[in-house]
Amino acid sequence: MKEIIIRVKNITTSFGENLVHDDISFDIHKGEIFGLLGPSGHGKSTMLREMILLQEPDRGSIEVLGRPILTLSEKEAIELRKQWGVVFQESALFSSLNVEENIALVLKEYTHMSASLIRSITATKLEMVGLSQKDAYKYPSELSGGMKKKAALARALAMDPKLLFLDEPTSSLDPVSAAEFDDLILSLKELLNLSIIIVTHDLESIHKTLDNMVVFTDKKVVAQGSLKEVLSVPHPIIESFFLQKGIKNEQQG
Amino acid sequence: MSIVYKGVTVVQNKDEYISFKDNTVICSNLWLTQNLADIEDQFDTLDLPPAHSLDMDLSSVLRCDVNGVILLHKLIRQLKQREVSVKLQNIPAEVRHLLDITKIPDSAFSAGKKQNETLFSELGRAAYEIYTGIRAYLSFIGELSLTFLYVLRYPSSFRIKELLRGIQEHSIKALPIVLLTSMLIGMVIAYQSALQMKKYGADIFIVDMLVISITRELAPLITAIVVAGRSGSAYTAQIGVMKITEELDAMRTMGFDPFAFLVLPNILALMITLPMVIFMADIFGILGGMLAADMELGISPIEFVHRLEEIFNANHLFVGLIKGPFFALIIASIGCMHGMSVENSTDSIGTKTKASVVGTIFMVIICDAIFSIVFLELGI
Repeated sequence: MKEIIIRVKNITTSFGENLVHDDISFDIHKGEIFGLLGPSGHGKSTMLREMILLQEPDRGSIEVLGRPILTLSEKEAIELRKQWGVVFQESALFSSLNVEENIALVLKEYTHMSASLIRSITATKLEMVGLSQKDAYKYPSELSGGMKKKAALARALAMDPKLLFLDEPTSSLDPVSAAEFDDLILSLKELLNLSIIIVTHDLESIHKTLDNMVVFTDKKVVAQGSLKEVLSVPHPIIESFFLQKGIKNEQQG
Repeated sequence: MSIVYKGVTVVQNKDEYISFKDNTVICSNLWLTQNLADIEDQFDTLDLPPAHSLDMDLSSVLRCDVNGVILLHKLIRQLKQREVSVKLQNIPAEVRHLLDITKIPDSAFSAGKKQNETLFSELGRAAYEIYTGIRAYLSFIGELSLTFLYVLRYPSSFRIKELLRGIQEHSIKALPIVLLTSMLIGMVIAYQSALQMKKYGADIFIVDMLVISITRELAPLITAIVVAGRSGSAYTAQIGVMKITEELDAMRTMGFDPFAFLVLPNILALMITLPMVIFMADIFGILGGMLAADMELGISPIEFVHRLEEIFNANHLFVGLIKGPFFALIIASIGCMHGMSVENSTDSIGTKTKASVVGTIFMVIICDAIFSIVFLELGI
């Protein structure tokens, strides 16, 4: 059995009257690419936000890297935040900084490295995600959607985290860029031995990248496990989410 | 303090990452991101002999990450620049793997892009910015005029609802703050001058002074400055955000010209109502002065109004009111223009809003000065 890197236990979340999660539990293991799936508005992004300390559930517990994150002190929380990287849906690059400064920001804030070492690191990270050195001096407004995603990924990798969160990384990309991004994620995972948690509803990337997944529907987890296990669950949402869309895709292809 | 790993003392000193012994640089301990700054410092203090080749022993590196390997590359490179060739020895599997996968581009070690700003280049840049700013304003005014002509030709295309909303938002809702400011200024002026007036026994002339200064200059200026701060920024931020979220583009694709739908109604709304706001500010300014005159000089409101009737010349009032539409045009057009010129970044909203408020207030004061000269020459 592989080491558990995130353990979600009995999570219940509501926004006012609106219940989002009703007693949800699942585990994520080290070294896998794990998907949070489900139709829009069924709480998968909320679950991600709860894992990265942006939102608190009403009840339940979440352990990340062996630490119960709902009872952390401010100092422990900062230590934990240094150990993960997050790529947001809209990339969320700081628009007043250029790409290089965006990547260097956490290194400058959290370490006392020399400027030349920081430069070497940012240049290497850019190379890693497939951006050219010319792009280092561009501002986010000058980048295409795919390049922004890559820059955001490079920023998330700046501190060499072992854990990476991606919120719908391919949703605003064209199919070619999306496939490229999927390949990039896969190769980085292999090379750097990362654990990656992805919120997505892109079937292409679900098939290609995910090792394990949970499917959220109606406040509950209706299926979890590998793609094969999930597909074998007889549930209308699973059918419409995977099969119908899948058939459509095949027809288009 | 020492670290024992698998029964062997691998690190003598907990805080030692790099040391030198027997012509060998010994790397040890955790080469992780958070320690790299210390490693850099320790490397700089190493007493390396002037040799042509060194060994680098990595066997005691317990753990390493990509950033650690980048530093390793960088140190080797630094040694090479001193014409020292380095041989890596006893590379642990993890470090070997990271060395293999970490591709470091040549540019990683070059100096960063230099910001070579001289006084001249800065001056040139500033001048060019002023030039492009004026050009942008002229083209904005041009487009606005075309839209205005179009609306004159096809009056039914005018957005009356947007005009009324503009009046509500930018004039009626601005009344409380404008009137309060104006009243306070009237009081302050009266207080300050009451003492001087008393000295000459010219108490009653405070009415003349107040009426002339408030109606001709103070009320229009105060109104324009408050409205510029309040609405100038609002025009820029609103239109700017609409541009970033592509709402302006959406309007264009539906055949709605943003100039006709947003800019023109807002500008006309302010041009129509600003003189009225100024008129109200006149009244409240004089009212404030009247209160202060009563308290400080003992001039009762009835005396004050009598004197007001005697000396009042409608010219003073019109001189102030005529400035209204011009100030309004400056405020609304500069505000909207900066909103239209927002670029695709959140940063740009802040810069443009600032530029818009500063620009409008400055231009309002310039315009006021021009009016003063014109009225002086005309003898009004």
